[in-house]
This record gives sequence, structure tokens and C-alpha cells, in this order.
Amino acid sequence: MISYEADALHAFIAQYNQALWPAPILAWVLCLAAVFLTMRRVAGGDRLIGAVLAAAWAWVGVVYHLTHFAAISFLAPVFAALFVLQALLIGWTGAVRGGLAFRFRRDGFGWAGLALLALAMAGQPLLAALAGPGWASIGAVGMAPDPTVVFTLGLLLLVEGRTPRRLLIIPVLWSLIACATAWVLNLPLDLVPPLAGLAGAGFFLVKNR
Amino acid sequence: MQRIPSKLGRRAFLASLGALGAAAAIGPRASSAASGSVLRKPVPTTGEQIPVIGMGTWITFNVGEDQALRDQRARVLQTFFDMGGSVIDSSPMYGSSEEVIGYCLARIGEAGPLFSATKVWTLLQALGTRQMEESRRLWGFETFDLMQVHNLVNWEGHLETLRTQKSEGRIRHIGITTSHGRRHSDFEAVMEAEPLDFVQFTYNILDREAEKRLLPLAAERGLAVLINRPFRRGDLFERFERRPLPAWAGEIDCANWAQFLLKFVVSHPAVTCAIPATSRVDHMRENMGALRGRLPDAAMRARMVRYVEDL
Repeated sequence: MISYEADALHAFIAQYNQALWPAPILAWVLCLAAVFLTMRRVAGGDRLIGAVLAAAWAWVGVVYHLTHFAAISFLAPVFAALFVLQALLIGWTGAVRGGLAFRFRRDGFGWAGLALLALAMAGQPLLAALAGPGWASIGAVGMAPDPTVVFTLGLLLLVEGRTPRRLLIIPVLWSLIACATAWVLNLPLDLVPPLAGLAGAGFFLVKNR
Repeated sequence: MQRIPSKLGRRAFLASLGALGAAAAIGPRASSAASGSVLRKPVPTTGEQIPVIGMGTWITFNVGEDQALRDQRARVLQTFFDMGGSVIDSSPMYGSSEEVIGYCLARIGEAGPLFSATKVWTLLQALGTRQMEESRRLWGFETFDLMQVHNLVNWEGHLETLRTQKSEGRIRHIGITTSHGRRHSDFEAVMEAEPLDFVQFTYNILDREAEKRLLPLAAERGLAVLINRPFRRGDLFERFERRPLPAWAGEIDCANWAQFLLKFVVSHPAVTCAIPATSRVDHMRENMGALRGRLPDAAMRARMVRYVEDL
């Protein structure tokens, strides 16, 4: 149940970015560092990636949804709980137990993962800036839900071996919510990230077989 | 600083309504003293006459803190008042809508007579009391004209609070609401058992389920009826806007689909007021056009239904 119009959503994101500036830049740099760590073997690098992902989900849950988005959506506390739960799952699996080894490989899954990472960090902002609401209203990776979900799915495609499926549930659920939101608000460009995320989830399931 | 409404202004308004409606008996028929005057219907429990077109705020006034959007909504509200509107309905569930209404009212000033309606929407009775205090702060009023239990959430507890606050003069009317198709049987049971002033539910030219039970029961119980989703959340425009308005729409002074659809709703004898929502000034003008002119009679209402069902 969507309780706002598209212009109100764009204005909200612009104010959110402005209120927390330069946090969007810092979050983007942290995510970029996580991507580099998938290409270099660094001691503790995998746990660090897990920690970055967990922090991003926790931030989006607590700061984006619970502290800010709740002003225009009565569902925000529910979304916050989902994002915090995902933060705990990724934090426990990746950062605490060290159960996720992120490695970029030159195979289909590797390239698909890299494409999702590029979409989250560069493609979506460019789409929003050039054909959408403009730079000010870009949801930043690590700060806003849609790019964070796509970024996460991209990284999960780079995990060596099988990845626990439980890590996929909430990202897929959010992708469906994001699709419905974009559809209802008649924002076709906003369909791109969640659809890409769902495609990534499909790759994930194939990779896990 | 909390802004307290001018009760003198409201009383003066009610007095002028009394003069306007002197010839109109308290009953279901809309009063329109002269061509061009605003169509009104009475609240059965108090006899107070309210315009038959109000304004909902679901989605449309939930614009957060963006200054440009708030100012634009203030223009929408100004248009509403300028064209004779009075009834504004909101809810704590609607995000920042109540806060934005408060902003718009403060910006407009004493633009017109307001019939303030909001809701209590929380599981716990104690939290409901706090929520209503917050609504008063956001709107800038000590007294609400109408407080409703939203979607029957903890209606037993909240109605008890509402009755207390009504006896204290902090609420003038009390009511219950439901959305399209939800819990109609429970809703009927509360309508039959509890002393209420208002009920609010969904009714439009395609969703006429309420004609079977809810509207007759409201008439029988002497309850005022607010109608939400008169355009089925915009779906009716998507269905009909490319189709021609019938030539005979002029017989009931309808110049566009908005007026056609609204006049169908408010011409039902048991309906007191429809509360369409819009974020656009031009759409507000179209909606408020339904506040004047002739209303369809029963035969015309049947003709309207046949027309849209054949489209």
C-alpha cells in the first residue's frame, strides 16, 4: 500500500541525501572498496565485505526506513525490521563466521555479479540523473534500499561455492516491493534495478544448484 | 506555538448556514437555495449542514517537508475553500498529511469554514489518546469536528475514548471508517450497536455494494455518511476519460467525468458527503464543480449506471 506520489518520493530522497551529506559519498567509497576486495586477496577482506554489507543494510533499516521514511510511509517500521534482519543474517554469516568468500571470476556468474554492482553504483545514478528525477534525488548505494539490494545481490553472485539461500529471501522480497512501487507510481526507470535484482536472484539459484 | 481555531468564525459560518438552509428541512435531500449556491446536506444527529463535496488527503497531501510541494498543496486547499469546500478528512496513517494540512491551514489563514475530520488508528486505547493529541498539535486545533476510528482498529476501546472526549467538548462528532470491501459485516454490527454520528466507507458508480446494506442502515440509524474512493482511486478516470460524457450530463450540470461520478455518489439519499482526493488545482476545480447545480434523481442515477456499464 503506497501512501505517497512520485514527486513526494523524489523530494523525500533529495532531503534525505541533503540531511546526511556527505554520507552518500562515504557509503559509495566503502562499497567501491568492497568491490575491489573481491578482486584482491587481502587478509580479512571477506569478513570486511560482509561487515560493509551488514552495515549498509543496518543503515538503510534504521536510518533510512525507521528515522526518515517513516514520515511518509506507515509501512516503514516493517521495512526497517526486514533490513535489520538481513543485516544480522549477513553480519553473522559473513563478518562473524567468515562463511562468505567473495571472489570475482571470469565466468557468467562473475560477470553478472559485476554488472549488478556496476548498476547499483553507477548505472542507477546515471539513469536517475539523465532520465529520472535528477542528481539530487538519486538513492545512493549503502544509503537507500534499491541500490543496496542490487549491490548485495551482485556480491552474493561472487561468493565462492554455495551461498546460504536465506540470504536471498529479503533481497528478493524487497525487489518485488520495489517493482510494485515503481509500477504503481508509474516510474518505469525505477523498475530497472529491482528487475535486474530479480534476474540476479535467478542466477544465484542456478549457481547454487 | 499552537494555533487555536476561531470558534467565532465557525459559529458565524454555522449561523450563515442556518440562514441559507432555513427553508430546507433536516433530511436526506440536498439543499441548494439558489442556482450557483453550494449543495449541502445535514448531519442527522446535529442538523449541521455540510457541503456535499469534501476533500480526502490519502496520498495527495503526504509530501513530507518539501517546501515547494507543501506550497502547491496549499494552493489546492485554497482552491477547495474558494469553491465552497469545508470538509477535510485525514488520518495518522497518511504519513505527513496531517502535518501538511496544518501547514497549509496556517499559510492560508482564515480562508474559510473548516469541518475538520481525522481518525484514530492504533491498536492500543492509551496510544489512541496520545495519537489524537498529536493530531490536534499537527492540525493546530483543540477541537475536531469529527474523529473516526480508522478501519475499526480497536473500535471498542477507541469509541469509549471518543465518547468521553465528545462529552468534554473536544470532539464534536464521532464515527467509524472502513475501506473498500473490508469487514462490512463487522461494520454493520458496530453501526447497529453503537451511538455514532458518522460512518465512512467506499461507494462509487461501479462499487455499489454499499447500496445493499450500509447505506440503508445509515439512513435507518440516522448517521451521516462520508464516502471515500468515489473515483476508485483514479481507476474510474482511466476507464472512462477517453469515452464521451453523455450529452444528457448537462441535465444535471456535469461538465466532466469528475462531476458526473461525484454527483452520482452524493445524490444517493443516504450519502452526506464524498471526499475525493487530489494534488492538483485543476482537478480540485473539476471536483468542486459538483458542489453546484442539479443532482440526479433516482431515474437519472439508474441511467448513469447503465451508461457507464455499457462503456
